[in-house]
Amino acid sequence: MSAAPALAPGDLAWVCELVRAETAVVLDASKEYLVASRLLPLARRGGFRDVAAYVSRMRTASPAERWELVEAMTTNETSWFRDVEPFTHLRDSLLPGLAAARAATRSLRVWSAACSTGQEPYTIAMLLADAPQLRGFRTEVVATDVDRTALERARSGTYSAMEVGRGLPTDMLARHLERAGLQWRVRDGLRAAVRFSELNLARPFPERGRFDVIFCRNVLIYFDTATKRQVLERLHQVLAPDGVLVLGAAETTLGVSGAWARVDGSRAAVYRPLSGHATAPGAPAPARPGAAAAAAGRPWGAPPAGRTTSAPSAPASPSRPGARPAAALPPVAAPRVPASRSALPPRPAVPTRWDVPPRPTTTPARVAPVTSWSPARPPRPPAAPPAGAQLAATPPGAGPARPPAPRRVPAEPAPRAGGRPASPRPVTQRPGSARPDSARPDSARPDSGGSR
Amino acid sequence: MIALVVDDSRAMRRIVRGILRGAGMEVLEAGDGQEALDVLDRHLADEGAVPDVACIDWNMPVMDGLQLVTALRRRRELRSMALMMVTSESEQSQVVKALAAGAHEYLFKPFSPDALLAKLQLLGLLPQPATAGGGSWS
Amino acid sequence: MVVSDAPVVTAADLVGVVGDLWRSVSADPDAGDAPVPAAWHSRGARVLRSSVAIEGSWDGDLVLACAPGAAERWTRTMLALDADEPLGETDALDVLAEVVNVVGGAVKAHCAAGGRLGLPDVGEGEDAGPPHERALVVGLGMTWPDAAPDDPDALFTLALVHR
Repeated sequence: MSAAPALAPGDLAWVCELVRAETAVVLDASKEYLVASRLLPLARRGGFRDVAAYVSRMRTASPAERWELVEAMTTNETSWFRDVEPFTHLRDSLLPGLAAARAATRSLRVWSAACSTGQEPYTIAMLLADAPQLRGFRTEVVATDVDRTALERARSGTYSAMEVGRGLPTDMLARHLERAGLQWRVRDGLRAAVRFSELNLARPFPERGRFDVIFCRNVLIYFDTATKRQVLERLHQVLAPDGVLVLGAAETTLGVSGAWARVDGSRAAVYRPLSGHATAPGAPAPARPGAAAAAAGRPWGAPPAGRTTSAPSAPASPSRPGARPAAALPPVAAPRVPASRSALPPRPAVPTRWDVPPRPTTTPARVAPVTSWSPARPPRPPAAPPAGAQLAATPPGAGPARPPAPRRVPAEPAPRAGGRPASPRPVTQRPGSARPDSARPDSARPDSGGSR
Repeated sequence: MIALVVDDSRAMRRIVRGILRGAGMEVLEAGDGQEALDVLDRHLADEGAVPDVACIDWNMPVMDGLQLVTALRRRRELRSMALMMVTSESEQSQVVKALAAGAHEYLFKPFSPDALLAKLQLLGLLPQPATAGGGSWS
Repeated sequence: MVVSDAPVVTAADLVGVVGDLWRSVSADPDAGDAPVPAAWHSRGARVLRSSVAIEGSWDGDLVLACAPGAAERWTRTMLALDADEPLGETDALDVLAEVVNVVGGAVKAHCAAGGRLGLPDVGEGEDAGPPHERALVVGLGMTWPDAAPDDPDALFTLALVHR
């Protein structure tokens, strides 16, 4: 940790307030270095001079741009039913619709394209298993990620009690998981319903065939625009024409690809593929369409000016009520390059999660089971309590532990300090007798309300 | 939004209260199931409002969490209150028992603040992340 | 003592649960300062103690014994008290009761299925040293990585014992 703060106090406060306002998560404002370290990759990727410049830009940025910042600050682990709404939409709208549309084939394929440790594909598999409209269907969940370690964890389907507490509805836990020692494990039937494999989204997909739903959540934000466009292009190719793409909260294809239309009726970022796309509809023909890409040094086979694919520019599909035509896009043509002839050089490993510095993991020391005590050090004479110890010492010779004091709690303690202003609402006084044996001065606290 | 926190541990009540207040909720507290019923009745009489959620520990004196859930579910006027167990009891059979008694959610201790907030999101009590398509961004 | 009923909780299990609890109440879960294995209290050392009965397919107790400094650290962390805020023994005992409640609940499923935890008992006194081998299922002294290596005041112990 460097001595000089990377983040000015005003910026830090602004970031904390933004996160709190959007997610109700309260960041610890005393850990400036943690906040700065998570913003650093975003600043770098955006080409900013430093974190301060990045935050300065974010203050006037659009909600979609800001959401990357919020995500970076609040998402350190994946979770079940992340953001909830996309899965509600899947259950209540997408699955019934697709089930009807697939009545003939009675088959459904879903792809979780950045599955990490598996919570997302297992969430999807649970919803598929529970959907009454899909009874008798053959369903498949394909789950991929670039991180092999995460994939191994995902395959095991085993999670700690803390991990299953994060976003998994309890009735789902009870029905689809079972205890395994101190942990919880996805039941065999459901585990068998998900196929995990390694895949780098930035490279051509080996997968053939079509998917009905693709989840590609919170990973595109880590790619630059050109790669984003390319990934969306590839996703478009493997998605059924009446299928949907689900992005992360506040992610959008807007400004990246004109080949998608946002599906109304949900707050979730759900998109339908438009047919006959490939170029920005309505965009003026650029002088040198490949200029941006060429300037960046990539051997991108840009088409000559004005060339489009054979299909007309994508109109809003009239059969899709509510689909919006894509807005005018920046003038960079993205040619439809078949995967086998991709002109892109192999990229270095693209993270599907974070490229922040790895967190220090606290692995418990491998301790041999102790069935009889062997002290690590020779016994020492009892030390005198340090001067100023807060806890009053019992007189020496007090003997064995006195009968346990009742555990019932007396006076109301002061509220937990969390860097938050006190709630303006009054604290309802709690009933019960006041027992003044807490040594803490409650009156010093701003909203310690009610007397006890 | 109003929450009722029921736990005989003063420390745990303080922790949960802090998280819920940080999320903008007003917090009522009780140290056991019987006290919780008293607090609820008083709040209903004074404010005429039903709390949105109750976070309930299992092992408490006088009346434990499972008994409290059972008692609460018998009262029609409290149907709108979500009941969430927050407890270190984590056996599968206990989760099933709590759900059968009428609990809506079950959170294992220890839990991170995010996990408690995620449960509130599942219960529809917290806003979900805004979307690019027109959320309520300032 | 019936050996076939002996639970399979290990010291590593205890370290893991304690670590999860510590991080969940810690102001900085990423600080890497979760407790690590250490020595036991010296016989006669003053400790604050909390224990919880575990009853089910196996009957026993989980006992937590903290040197005053360790109890204070748990309390300040769990209640988010600054270093200059005074705290009382009642606060500490309440915190230790919850610690043993959380750890007990986590291991109970692993060792006494179908049972229940009691309400924690709290008290203070002098540590009698590690429980007798015949009663002990697993016992572990712990301290914090940043504590002075031989500081007995930063020690706390957890012991799972047969009733």
